[in-house]
Amino acid sequence: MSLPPVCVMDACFIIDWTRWGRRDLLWRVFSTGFVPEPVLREVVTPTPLRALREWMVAGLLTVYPSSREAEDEAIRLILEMRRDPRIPRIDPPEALCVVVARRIGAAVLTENRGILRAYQLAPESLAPAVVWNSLRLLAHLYATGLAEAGSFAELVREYEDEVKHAFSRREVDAVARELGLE
Amino acid sequence: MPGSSGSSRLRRLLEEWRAVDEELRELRRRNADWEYIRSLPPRVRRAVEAYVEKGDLRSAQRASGLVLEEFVEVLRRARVWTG
Repeated sequence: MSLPPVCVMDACFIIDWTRWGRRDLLWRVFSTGFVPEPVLREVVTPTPLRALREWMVAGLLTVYPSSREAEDEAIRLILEMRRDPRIPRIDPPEALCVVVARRIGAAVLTENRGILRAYQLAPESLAPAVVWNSLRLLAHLYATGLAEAGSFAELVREYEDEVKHAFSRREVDAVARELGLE
Repeated sequence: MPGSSGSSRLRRLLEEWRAVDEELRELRRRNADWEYIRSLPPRVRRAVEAYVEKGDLRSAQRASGLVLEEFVEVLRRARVWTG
């Protein structure tokens, strides 16, 4: 599946990714991004707000306006996912990111396990949206030479230490195998 | 048989999820600053403990009564990294 040039970010992704020193590499992968209004309201501390403001001023990021229709669709998605006990619960802001991404054919950037697992289980149910977490984005940055590091493991450690986000070693190994980064 | 290969893929996926959840739980338990966690107000402490055990950020955040970023900051101070 090819990666769309547009991304939609949720709050969990934003508050982690924007703490990384090389956060602007995001825009070497995506040409433009959206942040839904309810997601933006969840971002309250200076570091992520500064990054979002810089990206907006640079014309890279746009606030996706709220609409009753999209919010209703997000609630329907939440209810649909709750029917499957294997999927961790998702909340309205994350669901709204999926709704927006489905509408415009974008990549959802999230750390929400509910969305990530729903996508692993049945990607076609969220199509044309593609769902990535920061680990997959780091792997893509490394594989394409956009993020230089001694190794993929080194890049992952750099991100974990700066951001204070812990990845599962099993997931790191799996994504490395999938992209031939071992 | 597509049905059987589908169910075997599903079984592998569910086993993998269980293993990942267990790995991250162990990591959170091992790295947590329990002294700091015990010093937190009861509601926030219970929410952090729930996050350590279950890894469900949204449920724990709601239970803490804090907004998402404030709760993540408490987790960072408690050396319970999100994952």
